[in-house]
Amino acid sequence: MTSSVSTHRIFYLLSPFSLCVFLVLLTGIPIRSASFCLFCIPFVYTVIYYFAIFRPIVLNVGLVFLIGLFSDILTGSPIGFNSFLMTLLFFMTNLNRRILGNASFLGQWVGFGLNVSVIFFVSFILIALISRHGIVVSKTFFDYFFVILSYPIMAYVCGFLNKRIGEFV
Amino acid sequence: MENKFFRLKRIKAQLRLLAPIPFLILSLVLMVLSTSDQEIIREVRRHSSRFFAPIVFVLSRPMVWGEGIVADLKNLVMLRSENKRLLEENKQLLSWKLLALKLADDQKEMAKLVNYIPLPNSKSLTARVLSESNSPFQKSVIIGAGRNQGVSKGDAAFGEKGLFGRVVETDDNISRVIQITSYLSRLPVMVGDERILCIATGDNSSFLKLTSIPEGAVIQKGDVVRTSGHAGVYPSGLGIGVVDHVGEEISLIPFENEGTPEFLRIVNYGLIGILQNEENEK
Repeated sequence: MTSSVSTHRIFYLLSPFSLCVFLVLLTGIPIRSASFCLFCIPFVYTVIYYFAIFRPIVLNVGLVFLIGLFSDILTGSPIGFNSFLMTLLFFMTNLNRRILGNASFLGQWVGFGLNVSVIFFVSFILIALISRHGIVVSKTFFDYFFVILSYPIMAYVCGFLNKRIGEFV
Repeated sequence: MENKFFRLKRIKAQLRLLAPIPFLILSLVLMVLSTSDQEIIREVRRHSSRFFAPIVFVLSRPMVWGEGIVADLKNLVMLRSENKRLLEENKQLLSWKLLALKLADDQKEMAKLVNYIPLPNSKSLTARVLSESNSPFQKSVIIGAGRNQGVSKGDAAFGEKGLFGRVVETDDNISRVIQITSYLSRLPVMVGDERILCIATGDNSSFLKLTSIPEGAVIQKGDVVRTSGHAGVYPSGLGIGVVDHVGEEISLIPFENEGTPEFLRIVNYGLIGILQNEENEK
């Protein structure tokens, strides 16, 4: 009985990190349809944002950095690129944690939109600095809007995990 | 005492808030090291790809099955019209076949007359695509064949319809193939019957752009674009795509433009061209 509870505890405590790893792994799936790549969208930002507000100890900055490194390795980006963006998202969210944590769902959604806007803007600059070329704006905007639009669904999943974690912490 | 306790608590909270800063600095340092093409970073990437590519491959299986089912259903619905189209196409191809046979005969005779020495035979193998990386920096795939299977850097990779990319990194049992539409891709090509020489440049979209076009060259929509053989990486005449838009910029749609194929044919033409210089520089 005790061992089962402890297994459940470990499972739920690791679930935000595992969810992030899973979402990053999905970006590596070869897609046969060229026009639409649902899994290329960085849904992992939502998970980082959500847990930076509600459980920054369970998904802490070290783990966020590791997820970023993992993403860099998998996507072929310069190592440090995604880890910088994800850590920055965590940092910004954590700084405004009190405000965002007490905000309504809509307020959190708007906060997410603002934070992600900064992240996309920083990524624009970094890409231009590193590779000295622009990016496909249409695709980036598609990713940007889709990740914001999908916030309620992802927040629901994260909320479920957060509730279960609450039972063990 | 209580005051001290609260002060300590506040300091601890502030430190926790600032904890990401060292990680941000570390990321920047890693980014600089990575962009300066350090061997250690390449090794880390290679080893981790070896480990993670099979995991991504397993994860992608349900997706591939799903796509297969949808494709089958689509084919079933379109069976009648597709059959009609294929019969028409077959008629046309039969007349093309006669012409091709005649041209092959002519070519053989001509080759004899001018004592033509053909290119050495190419070696090819088929490999499965394990994972895809679609970052803003490059579009590449990892294939399940490497040095042990005879894949080498610079080999051309073909999908079902045309040139897909080239091998840029090889490990024992996996290799990385960069797509022709990727940012880093620059292909010397010739356009149309006039064989206008220019460069096909990738920009991470599904299209390629034609650059370095000679002044006065007339390029029209529908012109076929093939490799020119310059730079010595690809032989001349490999089909790349068709000119799709002629305006301020000229873009072409690659023959291999329907997403990532499940398998790639890796062909070694025995050419390494300018890639040899890259190796020597390293």
